[in-house]
Amino acid sequence: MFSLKSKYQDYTDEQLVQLMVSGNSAAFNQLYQRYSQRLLYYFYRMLGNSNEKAQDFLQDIFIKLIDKAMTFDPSQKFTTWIFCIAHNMCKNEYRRMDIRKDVAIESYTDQLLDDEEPCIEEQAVDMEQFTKNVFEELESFDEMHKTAFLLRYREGFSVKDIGQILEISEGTVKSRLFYTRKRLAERLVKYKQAPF
Amino acid sequence: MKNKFGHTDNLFRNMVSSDNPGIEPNKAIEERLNHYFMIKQPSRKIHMNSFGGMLVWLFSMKSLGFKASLVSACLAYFLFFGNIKNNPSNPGYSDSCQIHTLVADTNLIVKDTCK
Repeated sequence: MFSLKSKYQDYTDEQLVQLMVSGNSAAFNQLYQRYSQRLLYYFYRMLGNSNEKAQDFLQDIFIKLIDKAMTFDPSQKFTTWIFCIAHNMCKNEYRRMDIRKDVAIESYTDQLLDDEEPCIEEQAVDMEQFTKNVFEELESFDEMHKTAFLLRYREGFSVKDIGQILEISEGTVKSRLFYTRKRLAERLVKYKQAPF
Repeated sequence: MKNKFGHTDNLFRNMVSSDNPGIEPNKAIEERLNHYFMIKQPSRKIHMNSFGGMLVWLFSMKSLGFKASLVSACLAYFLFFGNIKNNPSNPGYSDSCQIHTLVADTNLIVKDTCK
């Protein structure tokens, strides 16, 4: 059993999906181990820091994976595919809950790009408190900006990958990230502890 | 401005990537998913009720000849072997009261052991 586990650890995500389609449960387990924590965190931050909801969504997305694995195109990245599904789930949930957050006005993008980001003095900071403040402020952002922020800074996706996940252009991704950073920096100045 | 931009970018990246809200996937989810995965596989034959198929066959119109012969055999068994066991020389009951009748003596001696 140990040798089987180590064998699947070397497989790529795309190979594991193909094995999954043919009924290999060990391949599915390996995918679950790789992505469960990541997806749980994503849902947790996207759905108002609710652990219960995040767990439900985690189960749902893997059920979708089992149901739709045969539709996966091996030529594309599995990470972008699974996070695209996760993003759509969150988007539907937002629509269902009808949460009204700050809505970015895309026409202001050019103006924002010309503005400088606020300069915050470097001070000794409590990173834990600062992180908490950041995510509290992030809650006030809408789903579009929040997901771009998390995909970029938590998952480390490139702008191109984020564009594929969110089905938007790279320029739109950049503007959303810039807008989110700028607004966060503005709001966090008041804490006088941001190490910007 | 570029330096500030890059600095902010790295700061957020470092901060968010190291964030740990202390949540973990529920173990029960993995078990449910494994079960669901197994059920979804067409090559696996997992039945929720293993007796269901047998009961369906029993009350269906298939193999009527076999079923009829089976029922007949069961009836014959109970009728035949049931009659053999019913032997009058071996009473199936016993009575503690013993009655002895002597041919030479017209007196009927009753030995009653019933107390």
